[in-house]
Formats: sequence, structure tokens, C-alpha cells
Amino acid sequence: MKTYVVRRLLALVPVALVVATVAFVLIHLAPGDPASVIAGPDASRDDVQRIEKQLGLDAPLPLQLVRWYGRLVQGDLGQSIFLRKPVTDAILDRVEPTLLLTLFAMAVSVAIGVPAGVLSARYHNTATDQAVMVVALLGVSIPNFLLGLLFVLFFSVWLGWFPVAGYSPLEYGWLKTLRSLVLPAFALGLVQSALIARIARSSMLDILREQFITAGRAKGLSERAVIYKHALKNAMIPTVTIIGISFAILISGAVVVETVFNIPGLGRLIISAVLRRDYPVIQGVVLCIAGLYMLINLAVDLSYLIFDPRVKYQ
Amino acid sequence: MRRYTASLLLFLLVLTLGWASSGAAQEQPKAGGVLKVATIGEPPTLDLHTTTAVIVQQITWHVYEGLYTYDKSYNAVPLLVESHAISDAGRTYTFKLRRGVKFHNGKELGAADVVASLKRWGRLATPGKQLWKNVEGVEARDATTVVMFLKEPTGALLMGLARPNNGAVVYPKEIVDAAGDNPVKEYIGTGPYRFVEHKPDRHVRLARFKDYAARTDAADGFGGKRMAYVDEILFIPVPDVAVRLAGVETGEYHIGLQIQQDQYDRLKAMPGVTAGIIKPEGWTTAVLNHKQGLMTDKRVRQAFLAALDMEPIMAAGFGNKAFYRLDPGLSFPEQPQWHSRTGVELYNQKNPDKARKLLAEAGYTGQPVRWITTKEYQWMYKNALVAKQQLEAVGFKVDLQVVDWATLVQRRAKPEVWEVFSTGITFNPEPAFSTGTACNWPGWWCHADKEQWMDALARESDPRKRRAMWDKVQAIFYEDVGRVKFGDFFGLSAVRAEVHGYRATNEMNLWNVWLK
Amino acid sequence: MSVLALPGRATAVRRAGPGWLALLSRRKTTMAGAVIMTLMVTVGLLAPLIGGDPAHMEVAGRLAAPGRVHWFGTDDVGRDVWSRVVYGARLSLLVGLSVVVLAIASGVVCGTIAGYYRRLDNIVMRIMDGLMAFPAIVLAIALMAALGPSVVNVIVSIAVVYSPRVARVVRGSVLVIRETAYVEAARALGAADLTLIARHVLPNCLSPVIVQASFVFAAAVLTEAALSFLGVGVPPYVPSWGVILAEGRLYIQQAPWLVLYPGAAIMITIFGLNLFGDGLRDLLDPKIRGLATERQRAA
Repeated sequence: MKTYVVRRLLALVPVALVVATVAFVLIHLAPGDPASVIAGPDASRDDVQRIEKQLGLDAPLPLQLVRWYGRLVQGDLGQSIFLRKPVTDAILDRVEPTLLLTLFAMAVSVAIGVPAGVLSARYHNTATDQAVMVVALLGVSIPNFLLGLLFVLFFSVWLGWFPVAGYSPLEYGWLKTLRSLVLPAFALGLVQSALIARIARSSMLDILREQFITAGRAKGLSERAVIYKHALKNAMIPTVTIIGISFAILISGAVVVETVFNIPGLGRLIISAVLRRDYPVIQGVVLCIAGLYMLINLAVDLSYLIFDPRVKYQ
Repeated sequence: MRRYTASLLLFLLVLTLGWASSGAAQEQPKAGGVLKVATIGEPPTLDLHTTTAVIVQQITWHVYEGLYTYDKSYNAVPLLVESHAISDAGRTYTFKLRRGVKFHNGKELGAADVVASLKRWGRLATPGKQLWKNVEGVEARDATTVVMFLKEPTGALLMGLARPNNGAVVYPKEIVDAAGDNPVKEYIGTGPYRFVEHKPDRHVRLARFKDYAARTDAADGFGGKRMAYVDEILFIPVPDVAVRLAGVETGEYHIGLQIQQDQYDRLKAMPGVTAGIIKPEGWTTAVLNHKQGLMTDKRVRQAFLAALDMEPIMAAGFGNKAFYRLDPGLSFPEQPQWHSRTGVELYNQKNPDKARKLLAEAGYTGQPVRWITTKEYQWMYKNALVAKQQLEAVGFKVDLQVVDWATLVQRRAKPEVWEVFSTGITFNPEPAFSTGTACNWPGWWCHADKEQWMDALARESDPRKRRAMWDKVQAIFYEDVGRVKFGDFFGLSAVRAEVHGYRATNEMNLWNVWLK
Repeated sequence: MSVLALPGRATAVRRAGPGWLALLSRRKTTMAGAVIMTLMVTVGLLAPLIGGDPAHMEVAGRLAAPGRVHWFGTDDVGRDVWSRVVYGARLSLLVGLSVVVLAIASGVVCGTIAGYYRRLDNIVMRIMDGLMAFPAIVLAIALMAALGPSVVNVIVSIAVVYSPRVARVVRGSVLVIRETAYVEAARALGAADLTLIARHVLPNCLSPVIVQASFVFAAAVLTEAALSFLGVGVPPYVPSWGVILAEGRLYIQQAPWLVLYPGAAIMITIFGLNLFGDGLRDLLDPKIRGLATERQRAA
């Protein structure tokens, strides 16, 4: 077991290295010399040179890369050109709305998706199954920002039930915060629930075919016991995986949906950084999100230690 | 019975009086509340000396004040100054400062602060640099007297000092010295509101300054008494105009700036929301590159101007007919002392044949015309889009580059990368400092005669002579095709009914405004 | 990267029996998907004939409701929305196909190298894993920030984002096939690597690659729409469904056709692609179901 954990952790290192390198390369992909691209409005020769020094762009490329790794290990993501503060601060400022939105959306997607998938598997090959699957496929096909737009039109403008945009920070009361996140969370969550329903259904179907289930039925266990006691427990592995992937996918979905609802989170941060050519922020956000993604995958893999007996004995 | 009637009448009378007086009471300003203003986005800085960006002026002039400001008719009236005296045939201005004016950090305003701030403004600000060409020196004669020595007498000094945009505001001397040419680190002024915090992409928060020394004369335009009624002002950046308007509709914001003009009908129909119309806001323009490239050839410029049909260009940008008008003037009809129709025959020619002929004469062989525009000001993009179609119909090849505003401002300083860029020239009461005709501003339209007239304009004091000079400048503007004016446009803001005392202007002042 | 990324098992033997067309048409949903796809492709290809001019502005007639002259109405500068939606289909088709070609090409090359040459496996797959550690849209946004807005850059960015997924699948197939007795024997007999790869390994990877291709196509259309909607995709004067949505947002109350028609176009197209893709997968790779494929589709 310990070897499994250690191996998984070690496997992270080369991936992290690649991730860090990709983020580094971004600045140098842009046409023209990076310093003047970044230097911003009304930049003079002095400004450009200052940026060059600040970002160490005057050193040879390999040296820059090594220095970049060094800074990352120390947790130094650099300084935002536009906001004139450390990138880490900018990210910490905005992580609250994105995290809350992601968690809320995940709750929605699991609450809707898992029961729908299980239901579909239970009534496999009936009209219910077909209907749920078609709806789920439809859900996977609609972009989350389009759903968000339609929600705004329907629920905010026409019905006035929810604020049309904006985010109420936790310090003003968690109820208000939830209310401001309902529409975006559902826009994200519904689309994701479709995916989860499909996966839950397939996993349940696979498991229901397994021998031990047939054995259980043969033993005369009620259908209920078969489903809930045996099948579902074994379906935990893929379920945990779904939840893990969902979290990661939802974070990236939040990037788009935040723009529709004007939520001041990481998504808005990276989009405005792109429009302002604030490369340190782009690099920092991209690194953070990728890092989060990697950690979640790691957590999911480690959770198999609990759920998948095959792993324990590897 | 009669007593009954009498008391009934008396009762009714009291009721009516009470009703009338409560109606009048509604007009009484009430202190308190937090005013939320939705702006177009993040201000690039909060140091007013260093930028012409309108959003910075709109936020910071509640914090900073200058020596002069504008009254209702855009004349210069004193703000921090008590009185001034002109001597030496107009070459020396002696300003007496008001006493007992406090900065937000408790320090009392003195001549040393004014001198330091003016010098910095003269070094860093665009109108400041222009004005300083004529300044010999400025010094503090004593704690409350500032003297300014000019090289030549001018009629434009006070207007230059009153201009809010990129304005000559006063910071404490210590802050000026500490900052030098870099942006200031602390935002301390003498205004009715003090700076509290700036959370980028969240808000800029201002709070009432308790020790504000208001003028005693009645409020007139931006001058006179300034009362800080609301407790706090929050400027919230909302780059998405749909969200901005929707936020005012639902009451999340009290005021939404820069609302798209074609939303006007919707705005009018919204309960609890009124429309604030800024008439005029400015004129939209395509700035041509006179320093380098295709546009240095006058025939190409003239072809450009000849091909354009301004009506669809403006209609696309602003939608609602009530919000734009076609007019050749460099100043606006609202400024009868400056407005002129000189050059009208060259404005809005809609003459594709003439354009084609001129292009052929100039030997144009299809070189791309690089036009930089932005979607952050929707109308800039739409103006460019329609103009592109018209230009391509006469044979131009247009390479439209759509970037963000910050990049546009960066690129326009480099003559080698563009032929045309989009912008708007906002309303300016003093033509001598107009960026629309300046030589040292991107576009680099430097024309010997025009420069002469502009210099003369800056020095002249007689209004009739000045008007004649401005007319000459306008004639050259069209003959030489300095820039291409599309038309005048008016601004639209959305204001909730709870906001009282608010006048919709370009500069947007929130003092003397209260919530009820 | 994890236990559940099972390699695909290709159906190496060609089946005698009903042709693939018949197999596909067995399921109504797959046929429906195929029909929708064909419709979209036809519309995209015929755009110059049926689309009119998407750039022509009739400013006087702006924000006109759908009617006889303008089937889908006009937008805020007087352009015909039908025209823009049709050309948007053309753009989606172009972007989708180009991304598929690029992603498959690079994915196959990388995956084959990784699967075939054990020494390079680790390095290549670590790089692929690294690229996949970024959520697709986030990496695409960052790449577009570096490269700048243009149709070509959008294609390149999305292709870079999705080729690791293709590489993974190809590698899985190659790994399995390499170990078959047939290939071992051929190698023992001295067959050249390239010949082996071209004639034996690759054709057997075809099924999972085709399945991936349909996912990548759908993902490319969706990602391009999202990027353009956010303002970091194609330049705003290129007719793209995402751009039309972004521009139509402000007018959603007075001119809902600006959002409804391109929105419907996106939904129907991706729905059709997904239906078809599902059918393909069920046909070609019936063993691969559930988690692995969905995880690939989702990632």
C-alpha cells in the first residue's frame, strides 16, 4: 500500500515539471519580444527595460527556465503587471467565489446526476432509460454559457427571482451568497449532471452484469437489496472518480460561466489578464488550476485504496 | 353645523399644508447611505496627473481638488483659490489660496503643496505639458500665495487649470516628492470624499471626509458649495454593459455609466430607473497617421474622407437617433461661442467616384490600411466596421485589428504599426487644449499653419478673435484631413429613482447627491 | 495516469456479416446523429450559395425580427443573422475538421512512438500527462493569449489541447498490438519498424481513433464557441456562433433571435455529433464503455 502511495506521489513530479514548463513557454510564444508585449499601455523604452529586468527576460532561455522552477518551488508566482501586486495575492483574492461556485455546482450535479443514472440503469432498456439518456445527451451538448444566458433571461429578467449577475461575498451573509450563485451553479451543474448520469448508468450496468449480482438474485435477494446493498457499493469506485473529475471539470466550466454572471473569480481574472496582456497572472492562474487538477486526480487515485480492494494488494 | 364645517375645512387645510410641506421635504437632502456606481472597468491608476482616461477622473475628482473648476456654463471658477490677480500685462498670475482647507491626512493646504503639484502636473500631464510650454516658473510667495510667471499672456490659463480630465489637482508636497515621476502611492487630496480602499476588479471605496472645508458660495455647475451627503461611494467595475444595465434595473447599482444608447427605450420603460443623457459626450473619429505610411499622402486621406457616408456609421454605433447627430464642427452646437460649420462641404461627402479617382491619382495599389479599434467601446468597433465596408467599396483594402483598449493605447504610440485608429474626442470647453487637433498626440498631425493658429489661440484673450482662429483651424482640419470626424454622440447613463440631485455630465460628480 | 485508464482492445479481425452502414443504421439515435451531421456539413459547404453575405451591413434595418426577407432577423449592425449562422456552420466545420486532422495526426505520431518504443514511452507520456493536467478550456485560453486572435491560432490551440487524449488512446492500442504473437513473429523475422507500424499496428488502432475523432470534432466546435464567446477566440468580424452569441447578449430581451438561433445551431450540431459518436463507439469498441470513454470525453 505504501509503495502505491509513494509511486503515485513520485509520478506527479515529472507531470508537475511539464506543467511548469508549459506555463513558462506561454510568455515566449507571443510574437515579438515578451517584454514589450507585456510592458503595457504608453510604455517607454525605460518601461520595457524595467520589465525585462523584473521578469529576468534578459538572461539566456535555459537560465530563465531554471530560475522559473526555483521561484515556483518557493511559491513565488511573480508580480501582476496591471494590478501591481503579487500574483498569489490576486489569486487568493478571487479563489473564494470560484471554489464556492464549483462546490455548489458539484452538489447540484451529483444530486441530479447520480439518481438519474441509477434510475436509468434500474429500468434499463425501457422507455425511461431511453428518455433519460436522450435528455442527458442533450445536456452534454449544450454549452454551459448558453444555458447560463437562457437562465438569466428566464429567471432574472422575466421572473426576477434571482439577481441577474454579481456575487455577494461570504462576509455579507452566506444566504445571500448562495442566492447569488444559484443560477450559475445550476447552469454548470445541470450540464455536468448529464455527464454524471451517463457514467453512473454505465457503471451500474456493468456492475449489475457481474457474477455476484446474478448470484445475489439467484439467492433470492430482493431487487432492492441487490441494487442498493451490492451494486451501489461497488459502484462507489467510478462514482468517486466521477466526483473527482467533476470537480476538476467544473472549475474549468466556472471560468466561462463567471463571465456570463460577472462573478469576480479566477475565471474573470484570467480573461481580464488575457485582454490586458498581464502574462504573470495568466501563468499563475493556469498553474494554480492545473495544480488543483493534479491534486484532485491524486486524491481520487488514493481513494481507491479504500474502495478498490484490487489496489490494496498490488 | 357651521362649526363642524369650519373645523372640517381647517382639518383639510392642515392636511393639504402637511402634504405640501412633506412634498417639499422630499426635496430636502438626506445624509447617509452607500452609493454604488457601476463603471466600465478597472481604472488604470488613481493618480490623476498621469492619465487622460476618463474613468480615472470620474473616480478621483471626489478625492482631489484643483485651483479652479467649471461652473454650469463651463467657465472657470475658483475652487481652492480665494482670489487671483493678473499683472505685468497678463504675464503674472498671483493666486491667493483659501485658508483652513485640510488634506485627508489632517495637514492644512499650503502654497508649497500647490507649487509641487503644479510642477508635477506640468511635467507629466498631457494638457499640463502643453500649458507649461508657456510657463516661465511658479513659486510660493508665502504660505497662502502662489505666483505663476508666463512667457506670453494667454486667455486659456484658468481654463487649463480648471480642466478635470488629467487635471491640475493638488497633492500634499510630501507625497509629490516621494513619488517623483512614478505613480503616487497614497491618494490624499482635499476633496469631499477620501480614499478608503481599492480592491482591483471589486471596487474603489470612498468615504465622506468629515473635515471637508466646503466653499460658501452656492453650488453652480461643479463650483460652489460641495456637500458630501452619502456616507460612502463604491465604484464597481462592470465591464459587461448588459450586466451593468441589468444591475441598475434590479437595484444592485444606483448608477450605471456608459449604457449603450440603443437600450434607451428599454431604460425609459423600466420602473424606478431614469435615463441620464449627457449631451454632448463627444465626437467619434478615425485618427490618421501623418507620420508614416499610406496616410501621409494627402490624396489618400482625401479619398478616405470622400468615400464615407456618416449616417450609417453613426447609426450602427449608437442605434437610437436621439443619441447622435451629424455635424462638422470641432466644437458642439451646445457651445455657440466655438461652434462652426466651416468645412461642411467636405464632411459626409458620400462620394465614391471622387474617392476612386483620388486613389487612382495617388497610385494606390491595394496596400493594406491597418485600422486598430476596440470592442470595449462598442461604438468604436461598429463605426470602424461600417466604415470598412464603405472604404472597401471604393477600392481600399482594410485590415481591421480589434484589440483591447489598453493595447490600442499602447500601439497608437508606435507610428510603424497602424494607418488608422479609432477613438472619441470628449467634450472640452477649451479648444486650446483639445487632443483632437494636437500635434504631439498620436496621429502626429502637424501642419505649419495650424500650429500657428493653435499657438495664437492659446495666447489670445479676446473671445471673438479666438473664435476666428478656431474657425481657421477647423478649415485646415477638413482641407488637410487632419482626422476624420464621424459625428457627435450623446452619452447615456442609467440612474435609479432613489438618487437625487444627480446631473448627468461627462465628468460625473457625486457630491450634492443624496439617496432616498 | 490511474488505474482506470484501461487500454482499448481493438477489434482486430474484420467481421464477416452486415456492412458497417447497416450496423450503424440499426440504432435510430445513431442515424439521427448522422443525419444532423450531414445536414451541418452540407450547410457549411454550401454556405457561399445559400448564405448570402454575412458581412453586409444594412444599418437602417438593424435589429429586425425574423421575417420573409431576413429569415433569422438582423443583428445590431444590420447583418443578416441567417447568413452569419450559416457561415458560422462553415467556420465550425472548418475548425472541427482541421482540429481533428491536426490532433489525430500528432496524437497518432506521439502515441505510436510512445507505445512502440519503450524507452521513449515514459518521456512522451509524461509530456502528454502534463498537457492533460490543464483543463481544456484553460489551456486553450492561455495559448490564445500567447498566439493572438485568429482562426488559425484557434485551430492550433485546440489541436494542442486535444492531441494528448488521442495519443493516450493510440498508445494503449499500440501497446496491446505490439504484444501479439503476430507482430512478435514479424519482428523476429526482421521486418522493418516502419513497415510493421504502417501495415499492422496502425490499421488495428483505427477503431479507437475514429471514435476519438468524433469526440474531438464535437469538443473542437464547443471549445471554439466558448473561446469566441469569451472574446479570446476568432476575431470579432469572423462569423462564428460564439461571436454572434456574445454580441447578441446585450439584446437578449429586444432581439432574442440573436441568441436563440446560433444557440440552437450549436446545440443541434453537438447533439448530432454526440449521437453519432456514441453509435460509432458502440459499434467499434463495444468493450470500452462507461468510465474510460466518458472520462476521455469529459477531460
